[in-house]
Amino acid sequence: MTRPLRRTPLRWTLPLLGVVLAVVAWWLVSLVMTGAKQVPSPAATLHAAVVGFTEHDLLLDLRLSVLRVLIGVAIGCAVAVPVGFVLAWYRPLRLMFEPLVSFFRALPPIALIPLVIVYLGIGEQARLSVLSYAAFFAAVVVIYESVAAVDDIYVRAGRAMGASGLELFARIVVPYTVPQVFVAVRVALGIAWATLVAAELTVAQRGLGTYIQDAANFSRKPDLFAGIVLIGLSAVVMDRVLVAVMRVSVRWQDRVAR
Amino acid sequence: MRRLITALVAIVMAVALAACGALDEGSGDTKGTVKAKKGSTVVKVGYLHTIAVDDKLWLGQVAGYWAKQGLDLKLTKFDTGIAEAQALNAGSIDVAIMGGVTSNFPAQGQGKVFMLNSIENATAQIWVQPGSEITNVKQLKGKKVVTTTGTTADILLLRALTKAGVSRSDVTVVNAAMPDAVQAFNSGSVDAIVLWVPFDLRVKEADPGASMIASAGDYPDAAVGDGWVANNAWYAKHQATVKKIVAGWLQSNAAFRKDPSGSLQKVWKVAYSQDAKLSDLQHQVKYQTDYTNAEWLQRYENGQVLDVVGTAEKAFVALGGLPSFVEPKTFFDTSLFVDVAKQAS
Repeated sequence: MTRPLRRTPLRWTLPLLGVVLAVVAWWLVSLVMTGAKQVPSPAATLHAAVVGFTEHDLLLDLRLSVLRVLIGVAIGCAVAVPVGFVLAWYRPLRLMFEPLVSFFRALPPIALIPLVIVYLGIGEQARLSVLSYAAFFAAVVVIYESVAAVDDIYVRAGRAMGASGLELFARIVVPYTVPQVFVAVRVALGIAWATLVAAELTVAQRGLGTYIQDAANFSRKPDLFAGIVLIGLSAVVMDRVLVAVMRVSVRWQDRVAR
Repeated sequence: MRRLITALVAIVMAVALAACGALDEGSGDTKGTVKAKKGSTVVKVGYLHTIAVDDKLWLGQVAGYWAKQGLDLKLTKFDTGIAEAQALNAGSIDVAIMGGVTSNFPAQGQGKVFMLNSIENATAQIWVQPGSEITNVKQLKGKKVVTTTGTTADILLLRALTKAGVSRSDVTVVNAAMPDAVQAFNSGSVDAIVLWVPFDLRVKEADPGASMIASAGDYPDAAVGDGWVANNAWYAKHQATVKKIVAGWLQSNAAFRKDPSGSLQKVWKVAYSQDAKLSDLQHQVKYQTDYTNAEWLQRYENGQVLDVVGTAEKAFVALGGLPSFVEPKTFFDTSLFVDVAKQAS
């Protein structure tokens, strides 16, 4: 019998190996792609990032983007959790609103930017609304699908023992779906990062999305790559933190390591 | 379950703490600029970060011309004139300094033009691939051309095709944001690009063999005026402030005309050193036209500034960006500039 992977050194070395392979592949591509289609090397990108942090306050851009994503996801998920439960628990409501959820979920946030500028202006509320919007629709579907997937046997057992509707909801549905709420937040987090550049098109003056836009406008490819890598790294770090919180918080639930 | 609630509360508190004032993008004060005096009139100004549009704005910030007028300009940088117009209409900004779209959105009732910043007479250019068989505009027939539609570059394409007797429908025009258009051209995906400076430098850097076959300088009706445009409601209430803006601009323009290279260097240092080389800006300004304050005044009085805006507006009508032509004097109020410039002279 093999040991669970998470207890072996491989748990740390395999992701590291994946990163090393990706960087080597990137470096090889940068050797081949020169001239008009030039790809900056990892070293050039790292140098651009170092210059950014030391001379151009790139840390402020990073901090602003991380906070925007955090707040957008917090607002989006805070609304999505109760809405998701309600939609799942009350079938008529679900039937009524599911097409609308599908409709709005499909709209790319970038298409909403002109409307956001006109109706919400160019302040922080515009960027947060775009991120909250994206996070909400990503999370709400995961939540109501997870509630709908609660095994009927538990609900029937609860009813047989005389539990009221509220008790069924509080004692069976909520605990059963808590891990899925974390999944919803993880999905929302990924979507929020993917939406960041669009959100910062609402005339943000600082932020990683703005940093990338400026780099593109002035053809500064190493800066462009540095911005992209920072977005990816930030997303990975936040996801890992969330996974760690999830492990501690829902320890009661069995998870199978494959 | 208790552990979960604790974790959730901790996350929410962390986010709430983080949100407390942490989303400050900075005061907008740039190192090397003169701060406004206490009690100054605040004006929210949007601008495009291209030298033909923001040169006098930044020199005014560096030399303190706005502060001397009792103005505190709160600057917001925009990537496109379209976003500027949207923000101007929504009241998010009071004044926008726009490029070629100065002749477009105000003509639709979206803002009042009160001053031109400069005239872009040759900033737009048409470039073809290295070794291309295309040597003139007529040969663009049947070819794929990339540009940013509805801009200065698109106006040049319209004028050049018209003069060469080529219908626009005979050319495949691909629309892209200019940085993306340059990438598409450099990768060989299109036959030609209609761009504005300094993107010609990015084309030449990628392949020095690329060649320019036409520039807006060859077509006098392809020139566009970059202008200062105010929100309609704000303009109606703040004409005294507009006069102060004009007065500050006249000082900035006079300084620029007195020492063009020194002024450009100052502007580069505070506003562009992170984005572009000084040589890029020096190259770029060669393609715009600026006048002394006296020459500008003359052009306001004899109607030439209205003609420039009107000619570009006709191009937007032809491109379908405007439903019909509106006399420029209905959306371009030259009177305040004339008043202030006369007093200053």
